[in-house]
This record gives sequence, structure tokens and C-alpha cells, in this order.
Amino acid sequence: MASEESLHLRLELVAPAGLVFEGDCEMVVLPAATGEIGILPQHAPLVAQLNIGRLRALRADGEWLTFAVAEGFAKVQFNKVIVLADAAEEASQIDIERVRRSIERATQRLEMYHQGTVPEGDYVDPYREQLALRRARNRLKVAGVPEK
Amino acid sequence: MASQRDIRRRIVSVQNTRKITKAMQMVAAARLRRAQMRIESTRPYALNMLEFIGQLARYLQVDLSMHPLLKPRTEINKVAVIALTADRGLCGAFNSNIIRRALDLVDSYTAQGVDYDLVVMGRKGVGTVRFLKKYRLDKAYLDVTERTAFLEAQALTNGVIRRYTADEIDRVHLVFNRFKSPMEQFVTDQVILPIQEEIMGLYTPTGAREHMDFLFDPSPEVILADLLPSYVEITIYRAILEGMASEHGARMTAMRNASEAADEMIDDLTLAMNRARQWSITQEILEVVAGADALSG
Repeated sequence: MASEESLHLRLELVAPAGLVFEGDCEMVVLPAATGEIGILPQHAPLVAQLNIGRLRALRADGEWLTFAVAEGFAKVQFNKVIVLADAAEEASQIDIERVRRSIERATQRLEMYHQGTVPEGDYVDPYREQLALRRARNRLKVAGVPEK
Repeated sequence: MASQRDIRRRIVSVQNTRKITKAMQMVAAARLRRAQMRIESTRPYALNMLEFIGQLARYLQVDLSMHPLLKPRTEINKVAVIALTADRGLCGAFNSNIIRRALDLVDSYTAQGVDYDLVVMGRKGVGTVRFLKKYRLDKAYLDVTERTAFLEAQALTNGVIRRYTADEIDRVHLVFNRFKSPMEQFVTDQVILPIQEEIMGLYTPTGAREHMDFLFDPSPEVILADLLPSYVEITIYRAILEGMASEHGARMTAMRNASEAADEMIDDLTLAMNRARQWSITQEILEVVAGADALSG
């Protein structure tokens, strides 16, 4: 068995817009579709579907990093965790004001859609607005901020 | 002949226009650089995605080309055409090239008796379709930004995959401007459903099963079924970003041409003004000389 120091997990958190995080961790907790999965070094190879939720990573210095992630996939192999998420943001990087604005906007547009009051020349895709809403609410939840 | 003052006024007006076109050119150049970087940033996600799909297909020993989302359909009754245009103009023929290509496609399908769904992104494309009154607009997406582009790509994908798997549509075209270089405009028509080429090349069943002792949560079949739509999402997302980069490139070129035209016009007007000034000086001298002659005569 390798020495204790060498037992690290490499976490790569990738979103469509680019690499969100890359670094060594002691433990990664994934929001898998069937419930949270904790990954420690030397975990068996795994491919998991991820739900929208919270991803946590324990750094070597004992600090927990928290990310808001949207749906995606994760692969664990050779002490490397690759996470492909539709969206990912570190909790402390979340711009609360902007998230609140997007909740307001999506709610408004959904309301217009359901009441049939979408103005002439504008178009609403309810699926898009629901997706935006779900993601924004998850961000607030992960950031630990009420919706107000 | 126009007076010196009139010409001076026109020069100032052209100079002001030139200031605006020059500024727009600079802004477009800066946005273009950022948009190019954004295209580059999608690579890790796209490459990992392809690797995931390939690994799963090898593990499951499935011939991906037989998958419902990849298998070409023999009978085409209805198609979906998605056109990605911009919200803004002042970028040359950028928007009209894309929408014309998309509508030509619709026309050629209609001529073959094939029905269509038309989905347009961008105010300019939507405006043209509404103005022509000839086409049915099925869905439209406006005010798309780099930040929301993936959300939009997911909504588009969800719409077409739902209808595709329900056999309501048999093929999906994506018409957009591929980004090659800032100077080149290159309108592309890509079939995104059934899923084409790249993935098919990843795995052909040769009988050699890759040995992998993976745990799957929930099951490899479910994960693969979910990965394929994600592949369509990233394809559309990339196309939106390429379209945005091309738009900035086109605007940069258009504004540079406009600035150059303004330069030329300023030169011409300056020449005309100098002529007018000289003409008036000559006129004055003639008058003075004529007056002196009259006195001495």
C-alpha cells in the first residue's frame, strides 16, 4: 500500500463553459441521482449520474469546498474524480443578487406563459424557464441564502 | 456649388459617424477575442463527454449506430430546422445569410412534400421570418447571451429530442455560422438528429470487450441514454458560441469597411472644400483687380 501522503483524490469539475475546479482532495461527496456518495482515495471505479445539488470536497488542509452543481455525470477511476456538470459554481462565488434577479425573471415569464399574456413579438419556452428557476434556487440553497 | 460652410458641416458629420464606426469596430474586436476564448473553453467538457460515451458503448457492447438517436430514418415526413442568428444588426450580411440558408432548406423540403418545424434564435432572424409572413415560426429564442447559451441549448435539445423520439419529426437541421477565422463567413447546415459521424467513429463492435470493473449508479443503460442528449446539448451550445464569435467578426469587418468609407468621404469633401476656398479667393482677387482697373481706366 502506498504511503498515507500519496493518497489523494484528484477532482476535476468541468462545466460546458470550462473547467471550474481542479485540485487534490481528501474526500469528495457527490450528489448522485440515488443519493449522496462519498468518495475516498482508492475508491472502486464508478460512473454515476448526478442530480442537481451540492458537491463537497475536503481539502488537505481540512477545509471543505462547496459547489452548486446542476445535473451531470461523474467518473471515478485511478484516484481521479471527473465531474461533468451542466453548471457548477463555488458557493462563495455565487452572486446572490443576480440569482435573485434570474428567479424573478423566470417566475415572471412562466406566469406570462401560463396566463397567455406573452407580449406580441416575445416568446417563452417554459422548459427553459423552469430549468433556470431550478438552477437558481439550487444556487441559493447551496449558498445558504433564503429566497426572500 | 456648395458653400464652404456646408462642406465643413458635412465633414464634421462624417467625422462623427466615423468615430462611432471606429468605436464599434474596437468593441467588436474585444468581444471577438472573448468569444474565441469561450469556444476554446468548451473543449474539456466536450472531449470528456465523448470519452464517457465511448467507454460506456464499449462496456455495453452496443453498436451506437443502431441507437434510436443515431439510426438514420428511411422515411422523412417532417423535419425541424433550427437557425441561429443574432439579436443585433450592423454586421454585414451575417444574419441574412443564415436565415436565407435556413429558409432555402425549408423551401426545398416543402417542395418534396415534407413538413417542417422552424425554430429561430435571434431577433434578426425572427424579424425576417415574421416580415415574410410565408413561414410558420414554431419557436423563437431571443436575448441569448454567452451566460445563458447553455440553458438555451438545453431547452432546444429537449424540444427536438422529445419530438424526435415521439416520431413527430424525423430529422433536425442546425443552420449557423461556423467560426473559422474573423474574416471568413461560413454558413453551415449540420444534421444534429440523428446524431452523426463523430460518435459512430468511436466504437464499432469488433468483439473485443474492454475490461472495466465499473460500478454504475444507477445502470450503464440509463447513463448512456442520458449522455446522448447531453452530446446534442454541447453540440448546439458550441454552435451558439461559434455563431456569436462569427457575429463579432462580421461586425468588425463591416465597421472597418464603414470607417474606411468614411475616410474616403472625408478626403473627397476636404478636396471639394479646398477647391471652393480657392475659387472664392480667385473670385475676390478678380473683383479687386477689376475694381482697380476701373479706377485707373
